[in-house]
Amino acid sequence: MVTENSIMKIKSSALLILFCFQTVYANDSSDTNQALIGGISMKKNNALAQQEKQPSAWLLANSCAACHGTNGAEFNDIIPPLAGMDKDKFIKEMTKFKTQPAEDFVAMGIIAQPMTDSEIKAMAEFFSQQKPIEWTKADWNKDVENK
Amino acid sequence: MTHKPNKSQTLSRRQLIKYFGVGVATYGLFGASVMAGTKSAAHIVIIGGGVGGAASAKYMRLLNADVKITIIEPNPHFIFCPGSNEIIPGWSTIEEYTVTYTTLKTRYQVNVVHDKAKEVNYTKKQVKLASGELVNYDKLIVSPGPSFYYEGIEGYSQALADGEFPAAWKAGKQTLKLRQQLLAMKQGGTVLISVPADPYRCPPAPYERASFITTMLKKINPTAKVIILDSKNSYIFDNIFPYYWKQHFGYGTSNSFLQWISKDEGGEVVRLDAQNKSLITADGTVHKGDVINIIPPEKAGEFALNNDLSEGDWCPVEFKDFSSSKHKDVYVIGDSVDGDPMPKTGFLASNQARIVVQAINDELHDREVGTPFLINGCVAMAGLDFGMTLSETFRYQGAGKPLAERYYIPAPERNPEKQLVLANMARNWQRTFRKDIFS
Repeated sequence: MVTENSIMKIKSSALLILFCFQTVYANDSSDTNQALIGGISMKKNNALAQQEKQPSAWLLANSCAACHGTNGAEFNDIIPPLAGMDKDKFIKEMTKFKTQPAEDFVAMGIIAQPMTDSEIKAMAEFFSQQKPIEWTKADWNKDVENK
Repeated sequence: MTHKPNKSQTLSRRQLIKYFGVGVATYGLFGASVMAGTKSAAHIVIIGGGVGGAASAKYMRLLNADVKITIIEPNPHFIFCPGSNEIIPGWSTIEEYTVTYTTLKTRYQVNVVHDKAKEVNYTKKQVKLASGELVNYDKLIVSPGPSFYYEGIEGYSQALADGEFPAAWKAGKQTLKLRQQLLAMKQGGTVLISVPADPYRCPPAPYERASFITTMLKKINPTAKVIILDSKNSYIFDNIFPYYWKQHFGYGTSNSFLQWISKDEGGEVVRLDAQNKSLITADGTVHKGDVINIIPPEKAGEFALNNDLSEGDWCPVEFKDFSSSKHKDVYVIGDSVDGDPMPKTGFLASNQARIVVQAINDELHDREVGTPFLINGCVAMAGLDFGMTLSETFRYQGAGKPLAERYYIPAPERNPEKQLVLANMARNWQRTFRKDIFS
């Protein structure tokens, strides 16, 4: 069961875990559940990125908004904020997500892979220009909750 | 439909654009300009105030202070579907998923008309509402969500879904009804969950729901059984759910709490016998259930089907900007789109909304329309202690072609600590997502 204590523990270490979950657990030999990777190849992915005009930095950055908030400005315990992040730090992190085994991370290892270096750079520039202030406020729903 | 633009905010916004560029100006200042209240302002009309519609309105305003934006939505509030399976075992309440349109109205100066859109006159560029009111548009964004095709299961109907056989596939009263039925079920009773063929909204949700219901019943009704009757032979996260089910429910053994019957094994439900509380599958097998949850097949939203935006069950679009293949200055997003290989998710509806409003804004500024790019993330839980996630990206590959998908579904997480992190991430995502769309 999930206890309050364990949640607190997880919360406090969540950021660290998100960025560097290095422990590798051996697969249970009796289990055949495997990762599934598919669709277009990375070669085709990169060719398409070359072939078409690069999507705008605004669109690339806000395609992350569902998790990281509008303009990357979501600040909470679990998902790291992107608004105001240093350009080089963003590029470094994304490159790590792209190049290290996906299992090393919670979610970004599987998301970052198809992004090209040029797209990552555009996103880095966009996020670095945003103020590191939470989008609206944590209790925004209090204003609008159904009464 | 009048605007009350905040003049001082608008002026400072314009000054900011002048001195600092758009990057600064789009942060924190969202009002409509004085221009948005004038007759010559472009009018963006949005059908449907769900995820796609609300995201369109908000992000349209973030890009452009000078347009007039109107959402047409009959309901005074919206209940988010993502996460709503958690209402069934009582892990969260329906209030947590419920939002109103207040923030869109006040913060982003969006008109919200609580009425039902009925007809479009594409020549006059005019939408007729149920009240008889006519709304002129320059651009029309259609995001009505899916319609449920109850009749796809013989003997099933909207009336039965609103009564004793809840579908609960749009969060609301039926979700609460399903919970009540499960709580009241006799000891040792059987729960039947019927899952349709693809495509339907939120592909992993039926399996998450089955997992939650089994977890719930294991405590309060330990001799109960849950049976998934599937119209498919495989499903998303079928490399992960069984891993958890084996550990917790004896899945795969003759004594399992939870059973999954694939289409080939006779799982395809074709008929509901409401009187005898039974589901009948394609091979004629009769499954008796004490609680029966039928997830109905789906089609594009009623508004889209009735207004010549669909071909067959879904709406074809040009993926460069999600403009309708059938009518000019009309865009279709969300579950109604014929978008394969994109699944029908709120995550994608919100990203489609951003593509549309960027394209509209580019057009209004006589710029070349930008290239689309979409990410979809699915998060799901098997229980409060076990989460999972997948990621997909979709790239444009030229006019008239479907988007090109690349996906990554990890193997089940073996580390209990990380299983919990993933579960917390799933629940956290729902909160972040609601906030992104409605605040």
